[in-house]
Amino acid sequence: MRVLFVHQNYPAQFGFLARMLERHYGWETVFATKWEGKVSGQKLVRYAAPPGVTEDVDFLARNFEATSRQSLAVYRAVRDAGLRGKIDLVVGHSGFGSSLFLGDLLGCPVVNLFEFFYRTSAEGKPFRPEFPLDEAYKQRLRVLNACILLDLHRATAGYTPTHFQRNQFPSEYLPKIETLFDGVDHTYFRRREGLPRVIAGRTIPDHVKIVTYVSRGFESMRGFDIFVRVAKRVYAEHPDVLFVCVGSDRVCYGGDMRYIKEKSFREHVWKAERPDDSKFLFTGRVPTNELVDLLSLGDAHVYFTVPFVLSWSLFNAMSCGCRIVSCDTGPVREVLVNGRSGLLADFFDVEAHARNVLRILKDPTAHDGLGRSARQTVTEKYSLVRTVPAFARLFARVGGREVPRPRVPLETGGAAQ
Amino acid sequence: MRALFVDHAFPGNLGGYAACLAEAGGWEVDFLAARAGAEPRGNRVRLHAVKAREEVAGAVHPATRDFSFQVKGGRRALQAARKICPTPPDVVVTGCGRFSAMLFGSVWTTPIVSYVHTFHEGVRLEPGDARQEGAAFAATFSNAGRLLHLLQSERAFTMSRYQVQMVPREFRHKIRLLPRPVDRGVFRADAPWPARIPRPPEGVPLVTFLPVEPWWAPGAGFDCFLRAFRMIDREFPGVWVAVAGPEETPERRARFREILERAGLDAGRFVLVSDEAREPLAGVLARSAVCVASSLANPPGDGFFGAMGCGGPVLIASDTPPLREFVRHGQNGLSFGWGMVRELAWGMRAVLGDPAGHSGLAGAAGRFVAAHLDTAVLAPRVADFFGRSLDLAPDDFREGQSLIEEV
Repeated sequence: MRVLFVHQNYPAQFGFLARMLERHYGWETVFATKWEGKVSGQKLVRYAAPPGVTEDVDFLARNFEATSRQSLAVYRAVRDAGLRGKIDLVVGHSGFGSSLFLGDLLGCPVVNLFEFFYRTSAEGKPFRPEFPLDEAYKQRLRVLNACILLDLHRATAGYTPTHFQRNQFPSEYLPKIETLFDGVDHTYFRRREGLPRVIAGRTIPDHVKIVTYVSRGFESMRGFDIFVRVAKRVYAEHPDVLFVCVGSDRVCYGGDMRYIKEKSFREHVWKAERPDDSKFLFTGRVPTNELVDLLSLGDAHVYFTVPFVLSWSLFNAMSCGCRIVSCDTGPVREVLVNGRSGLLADFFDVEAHARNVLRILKDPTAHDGLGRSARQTVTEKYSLVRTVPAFARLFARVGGREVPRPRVPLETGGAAQ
Repeated sequence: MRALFVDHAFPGNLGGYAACLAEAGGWEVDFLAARAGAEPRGNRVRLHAVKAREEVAGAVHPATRDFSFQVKGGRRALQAARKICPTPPDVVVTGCGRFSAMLFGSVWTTPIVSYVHTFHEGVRLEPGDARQEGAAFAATFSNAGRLLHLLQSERAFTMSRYQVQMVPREFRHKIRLLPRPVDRGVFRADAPWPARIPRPPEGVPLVTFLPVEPWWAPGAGFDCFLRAFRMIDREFPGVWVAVAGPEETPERRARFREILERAGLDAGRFVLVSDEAREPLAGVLARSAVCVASSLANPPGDGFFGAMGCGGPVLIASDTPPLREFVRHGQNGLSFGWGMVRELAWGMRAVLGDPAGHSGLAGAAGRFVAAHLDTAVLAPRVADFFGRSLDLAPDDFREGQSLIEEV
């Protein structure tokens, strides 16, 4: 089986999967990307980033324009790479226009990874009423769906990581979409014992508890403001605590910047909440290895999200056996059970979240069961060992091949690293 | 009940339905259009022509131009609709083109019913053939707007089984077949010849070429028509030809003359007629002995049904999916294989050589329209559809059944 993966970034959701399929099933994989880095052992087809969309293009059509250009750039690169007749299946990320024309070009089926579909009906209420969607933004989200609809229409099959995400898609296309999580390398993301209590070059005294918060950006959709309020409430009662925040000082999701005057949402929250700086440590983005160290050092981990795409960081924290405090929103409820694998409360209930964090900080060991259970959930349902065979089955079925048996036992694990 | 129709052109594809709804009684009908080719006739349709220039701000890729038009037109339509309807109407009926209710669902909870004219699946990618590639890209991207429409609409409708089958399988449960009403008050045997177009001399036969696509487009079949006409031109000297199509620019008129001269044809006997304004077209059709209709993929419009409805000309239609459904060779017209010059020439020769012997075909087409597609006949059905469309059971689309068999 010869599979062409397409994603603008590498490895993204497909890099590990490609390697696992090569190693364990003996499949050949090619990766089309505009990523410019170097990687050994992976055949790459690089496409030049298409020219950026200028501000003068209609606000509503800008995303569609960018995505369309991307799909044409991918098409040309794959066409010129001479892959016709050499590929049995294309797997592409929907929404970036990755694979729109590749099925026709290569004469093979296409599987798309579908992440999200925006619901923007007139009567729909925003999850966070303090950040209401204005009309233009609603219209923009509606048009954002256009590229996804084209992929839904043209793809042979698709998958989405969680049931919550699948349920966002139009019922007309649900028969095409399976729920299949990307997979966590649970042999890599595991709690490391006996680590020095040093974070970002700063030694943390033994008596100081560590609470971690990981998010690609600091934004309202991931509840950064709620997190800071919770932190304030926690350190007021338990002063020996350090909140370690991993991520970039930017807004990756949502329209926060339209509601604030400050340069970043973090700055906005800081100005509004005036928290004690000494209780926070912002590390910026960290390499995966450091992230595992950090999660291992934490006494509690806080994760918030509005009903949206679930973050990999939550799965990483679960795999590392973190004691997780989170919100009772649809996507989180799907993977964490309140009281068993995490402590959940209403997204907006700062007091309840703070109580949950304090409960853990008072006696972390007594809450080890939460972490054990979270890790067990990952190993049983979301680890690469579980998901890769499911992907192989899906790809083989769509590609018209027999369901394969792994050539090398998957229990070896760690392959993704 | 109040209905707001939104479409690129009036009457366009939706004008007939709007007239039916207004005439059926009890409905207030507003029609929002970016181009008005005629005033509403004798009914209560209120026409609102909006200036919506087809221009794209900024540098967009040629393949995405249509979608950019759609988005921009959608925004303009919403602005205009809010002025016309301070409170939302009971139902919005929209086309899926460059001026539509694409964005209405984000601000109104009003049920939306979409008219799906085309859905492009026919253009296949031919890697390396830049023109084919460009056409395939553009066709794919322009489908995005139609998918958004199908998704936001409670119901959709179209006028032929061919069009029903174009609609993606996933949305077939929403689609209904609603025959296109023909205004026989306009398309009638005694419609007057349009004042601005040179009139063929008395007694000289007129052949009208009625392509569904603009005559200069590859899918129009103009080349085939000209070659067939040249074959019969010597046998029937002096026959005039009318070519229907969009409003012409001076450049296109010049190109038209150039093509005729290159083909060795007398340009003085060829006239261009706009198919956007119904009255002039109706006059030309009524005067025609033969109407040649051709379309490779696009469904026919007013001109085609008008030619059938006025009962005068004999329709010779390409034996292609969009037209096959309406014209049966030897029953209500003649047909020719797509691109088959000799077949088309044979058809024209047969009709021009024996007009009386073929008048039965034209009569059959006229009777069919009078009995089944006339505005007055369809009005109750159209009113019923829009009034109760939200709880109608899905139609039973039997394979291979055509519209004329069904009605």
